[in-house]
Amino acid sequence: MSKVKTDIEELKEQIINTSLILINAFAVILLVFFVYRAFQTGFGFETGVGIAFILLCFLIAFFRKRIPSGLKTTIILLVLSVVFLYETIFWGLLVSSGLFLILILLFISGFLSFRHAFILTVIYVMAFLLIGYLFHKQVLSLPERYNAAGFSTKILPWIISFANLCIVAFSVLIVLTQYISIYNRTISSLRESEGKYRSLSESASTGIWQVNNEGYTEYVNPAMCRLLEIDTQSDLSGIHYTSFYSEESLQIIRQENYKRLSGKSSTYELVLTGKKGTQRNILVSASSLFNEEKESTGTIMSIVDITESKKTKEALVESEKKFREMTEFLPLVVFESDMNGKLTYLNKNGQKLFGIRDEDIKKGFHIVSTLDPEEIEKAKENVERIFKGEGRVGNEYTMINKDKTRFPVEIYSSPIYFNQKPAGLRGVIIDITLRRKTELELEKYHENLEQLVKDRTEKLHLTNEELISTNNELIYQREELQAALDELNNAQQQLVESEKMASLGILAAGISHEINNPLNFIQGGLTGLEEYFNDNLESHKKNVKTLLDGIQEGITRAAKIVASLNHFSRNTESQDEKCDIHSILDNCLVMLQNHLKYRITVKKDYTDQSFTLYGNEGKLHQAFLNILLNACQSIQDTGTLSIATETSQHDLLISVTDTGCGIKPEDLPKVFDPFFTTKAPGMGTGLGLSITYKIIQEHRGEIELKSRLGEGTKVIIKLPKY
Amino acid sequence: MNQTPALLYVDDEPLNLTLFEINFRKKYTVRTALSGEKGLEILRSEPSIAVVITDMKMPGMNGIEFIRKAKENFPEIVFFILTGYEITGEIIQALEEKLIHKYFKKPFLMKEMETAILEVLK
Repeated sequence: MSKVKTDIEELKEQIINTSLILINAFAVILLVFFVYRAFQTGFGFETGVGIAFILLCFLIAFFRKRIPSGLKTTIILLVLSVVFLYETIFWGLLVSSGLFLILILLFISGFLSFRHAFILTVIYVMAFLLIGYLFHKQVLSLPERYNAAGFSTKILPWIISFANLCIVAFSVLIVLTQYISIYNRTISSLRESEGKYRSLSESASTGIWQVNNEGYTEYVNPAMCRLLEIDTQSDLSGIHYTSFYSEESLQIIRQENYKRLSGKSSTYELVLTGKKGTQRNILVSASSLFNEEKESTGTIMSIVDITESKKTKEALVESEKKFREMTEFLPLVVFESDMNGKLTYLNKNGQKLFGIRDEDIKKGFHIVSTLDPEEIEKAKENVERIFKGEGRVGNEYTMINKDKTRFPVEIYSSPIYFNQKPAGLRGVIIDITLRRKTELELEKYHENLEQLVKDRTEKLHLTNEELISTNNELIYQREELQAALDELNNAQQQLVESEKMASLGILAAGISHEINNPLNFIQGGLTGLEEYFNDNLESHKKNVKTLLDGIQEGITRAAKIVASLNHFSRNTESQDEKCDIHSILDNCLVMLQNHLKYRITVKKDYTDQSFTLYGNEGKLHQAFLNILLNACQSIQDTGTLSIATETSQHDLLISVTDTGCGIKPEDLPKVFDPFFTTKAPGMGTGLGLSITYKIIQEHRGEIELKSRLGEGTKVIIKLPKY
Repeated sequence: MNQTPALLYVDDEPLNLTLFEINFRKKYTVRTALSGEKGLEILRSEPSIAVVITDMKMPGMNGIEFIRKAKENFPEIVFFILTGYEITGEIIQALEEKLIHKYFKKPFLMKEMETAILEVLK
């Protein structure tokens, strides 16, 4: 609307300016006329006024842009009025000055209200009538020098009339053209605007409802139709708007209408009942509509359904109330602050604790002032972290209450955002004095307990270590004892054995001595006899030779047996006796003659090499005797005993193979164990091979047994030469 | 004609002494004694004795003890031991000390003894 208004103002200004230019054009003509007349009739007062007036016109036209349009209009009207009156008074009907009246009317109709224009028009018409009357009564008349009768033959009145005609005609033409163009523009602009508003209104979710002064509907948009629960506007014909409101709402409407008389729009909430009876809370923005004459033509209302939002709001208010109440009940301090740390809310508990009231909060109370000054920096850092989203929710601080007492607290806080921007902080403050105390006590208990446990553990550890070491010692001692016992057992057995051997040795030595002496007698006797036969009984010699040889053989064999016996029974500890292993083996075989005879074939495969070493002859005899004896005993009926010897670079190797019963594989590892025997009780001590093993070891040798059950056994002995 | 070398044989068995004398008398002058003491007496009374053969086990002095004493007075005499025992440490020691020249074992072997005596008397 304002655009149209501007257009009209612009148009008026344009018309005025055009009129001014036209007036000036007219004034130029008038000036020419005046100058011309002045030359004809002389320069009179009239001419002077005329020229001054024309010059004024020029001046106004020249400054037309600086002069307010109202003044310009007045001037134009004045000029027109003056020209009109002057010409009419001067010329009467001789010129068509009445045309100016049209021009004046054209002007005033554009600038004045109809009433004013009408009055002014009447005045002008009456003035014209009056002048005519004055001419009729000959109060006014054409100057004498003008001959009215011959006037139509003169050129001047025609020129003036022509000028008048031109001015009016062109003015009317121009003004009308302008009016039409502005009208067209306004109409199209209005149409466009109306279309815009209509489509806006049609598609708007806000209800728009225009009601005339009588209370009937002028316009209603689809959104409003939905609110009113009607299909189209035609459903409202004849229905007064009040039928949609309760008495309560109508009262509000009346009050608001009254308020609106001042011309302002007003907004208020009502309850609207649709045609189908649905009640809605609505928010009404109402504006009065006025016509050109500023008269009220009705009311236009934009209506928003706020039922849901009102419900939400109520729920929100309820919720807010609930939480507030809960907050107040909490035995904690609950607070909210803005970004500067100024409290915006503090629950009763907090107010009591810090000794402040709602008024203080309204005046501005900083939460920081309740903190221990030393912890303000820490608090700031923590708040920054919280806003960055990385800080811990709960932090411990020291606070100062209204009694200036310091106490430990834990503050849990989270940021408040408003429109996605940090707006403050909200949190709870928990007094942890008691908890701290409990914690300290607990810690103390814990420490005591830990110390106690530690002490006990140490003691236990110590005791345990002692026990372990005692135990170890005991185990060690037991092992030692066991070893000692074993050794003792061994030693005892060996002692028994060696004692036996010693006794046997002494016995053997004694016996051999006692046998050797008689053998010596026999030998002596035999020697003497042989001599005797040689000297005296040469002829008998060959007869007794066989007998004597028999005696000699007996002596030799008996001596050999006695000597062998002696070898076995020798009981020295010396290790440096020269021992011929071949003779030892032979000695053994002599001793075993009883076992071998007629039963076992002895195969000897002795090396030609020297087969001696330095050691204990008696013991070696013992060792080999045991091996050979075992071989003999393993042969149940008949069999073969093979003895083979050979030398290597450093060792003497002796192998004794029998074709006896062999040894069970499971017994094989045990054969060298003391007291291990497969013989019937009392038949063997089980010490034979163990003693053999020991003797071979004493001679730094090795003994090895290979046996196959039922096939025989092979014993391999390796003895170092030196 | 007492040019044959004289032997002394000491043994506590008279039979041994008799048989020894019978077997050796052809080639040597044989003196016999039943104990070490008697042997020493004979050695003192008969300086011609060059070789002594003694038993080991005897009442009173044993063979080595007898030789030890005899050797003190008659260092040039050669001593032999003839014993029924196997060789003993005592005998080995005496051999090492050159107290005795050789050790013979009973029953004696005529050849062995003769060879040894001849060797000494050369």
